[in-house]
Amino acid sequence: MDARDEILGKLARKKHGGGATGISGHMKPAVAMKTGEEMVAQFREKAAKLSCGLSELSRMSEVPGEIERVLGEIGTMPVLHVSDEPELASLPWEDVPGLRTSREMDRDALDGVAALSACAAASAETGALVLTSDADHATAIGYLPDFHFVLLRKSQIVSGFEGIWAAARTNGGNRDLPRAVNIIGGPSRTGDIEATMVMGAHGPRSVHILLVDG
Amino acid sequence: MTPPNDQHAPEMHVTSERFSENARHALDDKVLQGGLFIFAKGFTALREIGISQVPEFGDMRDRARDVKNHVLENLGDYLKQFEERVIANGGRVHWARNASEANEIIGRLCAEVNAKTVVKSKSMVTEELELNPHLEKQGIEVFESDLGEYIIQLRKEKPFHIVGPALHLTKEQVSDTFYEAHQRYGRTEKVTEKEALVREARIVLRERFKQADVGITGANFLVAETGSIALVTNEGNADLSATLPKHHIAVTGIEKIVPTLEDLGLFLRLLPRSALGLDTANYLSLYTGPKRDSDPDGPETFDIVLVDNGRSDMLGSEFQDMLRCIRCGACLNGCPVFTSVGGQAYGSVYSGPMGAVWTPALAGITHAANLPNASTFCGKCEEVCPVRIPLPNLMRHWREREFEKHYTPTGQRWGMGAWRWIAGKPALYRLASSMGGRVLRAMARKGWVKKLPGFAGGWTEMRDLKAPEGGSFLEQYEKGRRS
Amino acid sequence: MAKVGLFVTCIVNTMRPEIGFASLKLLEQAGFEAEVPRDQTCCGQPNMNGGDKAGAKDLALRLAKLYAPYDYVVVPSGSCAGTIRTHYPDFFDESDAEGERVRALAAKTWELTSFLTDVAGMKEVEARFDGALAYHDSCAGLRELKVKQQPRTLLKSVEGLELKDLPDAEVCCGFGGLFCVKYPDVSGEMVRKKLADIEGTEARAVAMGDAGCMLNIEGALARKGSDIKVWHVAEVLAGLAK
Repeated sequence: MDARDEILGKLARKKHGGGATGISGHMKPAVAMKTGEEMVAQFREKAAKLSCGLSELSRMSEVPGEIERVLGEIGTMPVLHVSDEPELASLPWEDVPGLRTSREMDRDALDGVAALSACAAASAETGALVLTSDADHATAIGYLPDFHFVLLRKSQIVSGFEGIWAAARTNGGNRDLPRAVNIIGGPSRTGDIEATMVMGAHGPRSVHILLVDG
Repeated sequence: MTPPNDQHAPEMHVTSERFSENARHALDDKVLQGGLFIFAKGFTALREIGISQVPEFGDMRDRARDVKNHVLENLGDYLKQFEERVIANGGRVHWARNASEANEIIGRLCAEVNAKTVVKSKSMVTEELELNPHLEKQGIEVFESDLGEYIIQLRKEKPFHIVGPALHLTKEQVSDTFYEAHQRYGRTEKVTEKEALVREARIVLRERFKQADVGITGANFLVAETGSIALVTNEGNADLSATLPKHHIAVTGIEKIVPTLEDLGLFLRLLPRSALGLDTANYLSLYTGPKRDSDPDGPETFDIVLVDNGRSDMLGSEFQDMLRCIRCGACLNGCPVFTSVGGQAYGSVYSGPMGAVWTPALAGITHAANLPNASTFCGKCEEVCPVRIPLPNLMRHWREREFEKHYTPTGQRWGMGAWRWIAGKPALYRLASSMGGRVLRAMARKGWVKKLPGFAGGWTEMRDLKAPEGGSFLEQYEKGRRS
Repeated sequence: MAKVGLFVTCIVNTMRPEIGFASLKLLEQAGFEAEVPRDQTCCGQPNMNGGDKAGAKDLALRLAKLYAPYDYVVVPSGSCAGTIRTHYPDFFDESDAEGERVRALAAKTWELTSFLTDVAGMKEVEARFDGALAYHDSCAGLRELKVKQQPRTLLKSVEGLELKDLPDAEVCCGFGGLFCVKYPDVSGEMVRKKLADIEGTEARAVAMGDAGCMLNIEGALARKGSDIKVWHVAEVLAGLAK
């Protein structure tokens, strides 16, 4: 007998409860049930706890200038790789001639640079950002660059995991989910040497959220 | 549990027979003892603070227990649903009865694509399978990418802790290891600070990620309704492993399944809080099938290896509850034995209370009897377990198996038999307890016994024994004393 | 009047009879008529934890029969009371008629301080103890029977007693029955940490609810040459501790 049939056969013989002991309902903690301004406030607080940077902007057109300002503050001006999401292409990049941008998404090109991407949602439960793969979004953009800027519209903030799944399913198109759903909770870090947190393990050492009204 | 001569019996190599000896070394190791302090005090405190902020935590644990129990009762059905969804999404599912089969499947998948190098993210199941030596024998170079796992791979050690594999080492030890190992990449300067060590590993491993032909990950959870695997890390290494190489293989145990995304949310709320008191891990990711036609990146193939290796034997046995384990490490951090001797003393990739139950199931009770015995049954592990596994009871069941099979040491076995016999004869019991008291009084100097013979000598190795004063309680009670 | 059967446990019977007499005194203060059946022996905990399930089952049936005439069974030990109350029912299937008597025993069995406060409603005791005392939570009582506040409530009523907070009071002392002789090094390290915490409180004595932990902690203190005294909580509450 092949392994599959043998394992499944064994499990079938050991099955008890007949599938009748279903689990119903769902359980959501209060931290994942905030709405409106309270939800946005909790998102800000949780994102800060995860060491994310956050700029609040009233218009999309302010994004390029803000990225230039933040990079200037850090004291570095790497090439900014802009993800293919349509709302990013239409930003007024010409306003910031000092910031060089690129559309290159190749793994070597993304290595160690700054990048800007959109996201599918953000969770007020934890402060994390949700990035999903699709034609306009390479998964590697959230991992290979040193500085990751994420454009987030206020309306994209959801209360918790339940909202994340809903947003991810929508982005999956005709399938259940996109290939990759990455829920990113701030810069990459490790505590593997003497249990001391060090930022920038394998992924970005900085994650900066550009929170835009609307 | 498994009949002898079963060619598909579970396999795992352990050195748990040497627990006492290993424990002694660990207790003498000052550096290790310093590291253990972090688990006993730091991680436990972080967990307590983290869960105190979620008043529903207890109810969430109950529900997680119920969801897992439901899944275990219907495991075959959920696995079939999962398999169907993976295939519909363009992936493949492979089934392995034991370690040899799993290694053979993974080896074959790597050979099919002429893999020269493999990059891996931390997976306890592949540690259990001893996958790396198997692939290396095939001429494949394997790079662990979780920083802790990478360090112990370079040092050829077993993981110290399921969540923090290298936390028994100092930065000086890591510095020496990197200095030696990284010369081949042209890194000749010895770095010593933690930040610099992390940076160096990042630079070295970044190239491995980019060059690897195959990425191998574990899976913290499998979602039946979508055919997705869920990966939880803080470093982002699992995502790079699942994204950059052309081929992605996920290796995991058949018990890791959850029915729906909503259920997954529940476990993602429990896992980081139980491990480190965190609201969330840095990266929680779901991967569903290979790269879609329009996707700009992602692997061309997506293979899942579902490993049994003893798990189906545990199902329906007195050890079934153990299959709820989500590998958070809370039971290790809370365990007074683990935090005294560390993970290496257990001689198994699974250590602490969860390891004391898993290890005998995988390696056999004859090889691993020390582990369920090296517990005071203090119950801290059960108190902190997010899925409410009754760990002391399960360890006790292993002691029962050991006793039934006559593996219990002869002296102890005889002693328990004699005790049961005496306890059934009250007059003899009264006499024996009075005599016992008298013997101890005779052995004592100024009321204290400094050395006991035979088996009881273990007591006086570490402490004195205060001899009883006067007759036994029952003796005095019989004479009419009431207060 | 409700009748209480006191089960004194093997360690108390052989090693520390005073704990048994202290328990009788406290039960009387609480208004109960208590007695100890002369044929009491062991609850079977060593067999249960050593894997000898059949042996433990025999002793469970024996104890159930012996204590059948009593309304309550009180035990000055969290681990023996926990064996009876928490583990005995697991020895028998629900349908097993033999188990009925054992389930009845489990339901009426109480750890001493829990009985005094939760059942008898006692809020204070008539006793005196001069000085600072630390309290260690013995594991089985704490986790199997939820004994936490009960001993503290009563200890606070003892005249002259200053109750000290013991850091890591809930961490195991390393006794663990056979564990301490099978793995003496590990057990030794655990009790070493416990002593350091006790010494840190600067209390002149430490109390606890289990005689096994007492033997371990007092033996380790003696080996170290410490003059910190170790008492069973019953001895302190009955005014027998000096």
